[in-house]
Amino acid sequence: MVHEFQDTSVLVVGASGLMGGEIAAAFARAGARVMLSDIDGSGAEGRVEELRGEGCDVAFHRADVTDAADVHDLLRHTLEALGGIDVVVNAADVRVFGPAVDVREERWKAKIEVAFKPFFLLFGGVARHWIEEGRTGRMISISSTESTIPYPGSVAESAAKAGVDILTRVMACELGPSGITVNAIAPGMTRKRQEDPGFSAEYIESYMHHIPLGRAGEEREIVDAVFFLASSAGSYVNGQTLVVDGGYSAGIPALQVSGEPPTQWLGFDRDREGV
Amino acid sequence: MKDLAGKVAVITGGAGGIGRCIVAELAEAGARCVVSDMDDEWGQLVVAEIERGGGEAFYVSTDITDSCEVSSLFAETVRKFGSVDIVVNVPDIQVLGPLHELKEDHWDKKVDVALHGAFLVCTEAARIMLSQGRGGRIICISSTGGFLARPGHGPHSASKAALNAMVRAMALELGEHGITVNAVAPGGTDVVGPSRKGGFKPGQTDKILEVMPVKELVHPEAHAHAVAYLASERASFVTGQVLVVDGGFIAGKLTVGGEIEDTVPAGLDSMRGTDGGDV
Repeated sequence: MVHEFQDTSVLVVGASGLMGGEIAAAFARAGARVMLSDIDGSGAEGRVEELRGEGCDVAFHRADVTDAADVHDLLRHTLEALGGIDVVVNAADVRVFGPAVDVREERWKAKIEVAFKPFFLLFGGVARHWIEEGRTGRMISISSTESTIPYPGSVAESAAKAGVDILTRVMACELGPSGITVNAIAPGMTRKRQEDPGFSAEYIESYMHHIPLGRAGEEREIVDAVFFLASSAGSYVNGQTLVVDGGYSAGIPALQVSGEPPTQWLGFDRDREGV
Repeated sequence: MKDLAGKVAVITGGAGGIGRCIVAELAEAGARCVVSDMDDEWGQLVVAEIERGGGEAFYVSTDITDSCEVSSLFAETVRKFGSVDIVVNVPDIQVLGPLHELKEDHWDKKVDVALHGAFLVCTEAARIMLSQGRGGRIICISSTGGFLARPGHGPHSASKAALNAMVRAMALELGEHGITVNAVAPGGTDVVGPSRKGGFKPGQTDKILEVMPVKELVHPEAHAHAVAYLASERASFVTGQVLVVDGGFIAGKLTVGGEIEDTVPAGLDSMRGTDGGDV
């Protein structure tokens, strides 16, 4: 069996979350040494046990990515445990949905903090370490389709993820000269999100309506995009948000123009077509 | 052309370089203006200027990062002028530096003013407009930084990109109530703030002009014109948009490409008909 990420050290924050957990597990199963981190150990610790049972080299360290001291501890601990960091994945997030006029100030601020702070606390810390040591690496964040396609109630999600996209580009500009790439993935609907009771059936159904491929993505399909960016195949991709959404953000498939086209279609005379 | 006659406009950051141009233009169009800022001296001066021109205005000192102060700004506006029809949110502070070297409190201050402040002002404005039940106009001053990544501009770009997304999401939510939400994104603008700080340093101007298709810095009045348009009846179908006013600054990379040579398919004459020597 080929281990794509043998001898690779990966740090995943937000590893108790759905996407972060999947990504961490996939890296571990692909041969990487993985440090899972989250503010809440409940999800990640179980996953660490499970992965260790499979013979994977994984560990957990609790940290709040919006807290400078916590992030400092996390990095020190990770470097000790893994001997280095090659790939850092930022999947930390909090779920804040609701119309702008109803979203509470504290929730809004919490959302923005979790989205923005990892860029200079976590990525900044890792970048300083890499630059000091003369090393390079890959930084990958989880954005979302809401960053470019808002809907009513997505105000905090959209603002936070739009920030993630542009911070990805700014950091790519800043760290490119040091050989470090900074990218993001924007997943659309995935199967596990579709089954998440935290989202209403109405929301899921209306979202599904807008996916040209007509199905939710598999978590594996998101992980594959992360793998591409972390692998040698993705070495020249920098400052991008790779959207993996079945075409959701491409347009509005639900708005089909049906029926016979008019004879004067965009100024083109149909009768003369056959001439 | 008093197309904003009878309207009440609240301009936060109304004493700053771009803010006071907006106040002047909206007042000129007939709006009664509430000037809000943290620089009381310049705020009063802006009001005095409007009154000298025959307009109606008053000043409210507001820290827009404090939700209580934002609420009282609007409460006072309703008390004195009876309604809120147009809200323009301008405040910003300059924080520049590479993300991996940035101090956390500098970051916090920037996001607090440029993003959280805008959230508090726009959402409070929306709640008041919803309760009035006759629509309204919400306009944020964003920046080309929301679209263009530049080294050292992390805090600025993040705040403005998030602000743009907030504007679009709010436009979706408030459209059915006749409230439009838009932004104006200035770029390449030379503005001096109320404290006479800011503005480009010598040498910076030349560098900016090098990448500006329009070989002139953008005047702050240009942004006021854009705001006045978005605030007017003419723009009633424009919502969720970020109107970039930057002299073409972010249209592309002007300094890439070098000299342009005419490329003409074989068998055709030069593209430049009348300029070609043999015509």
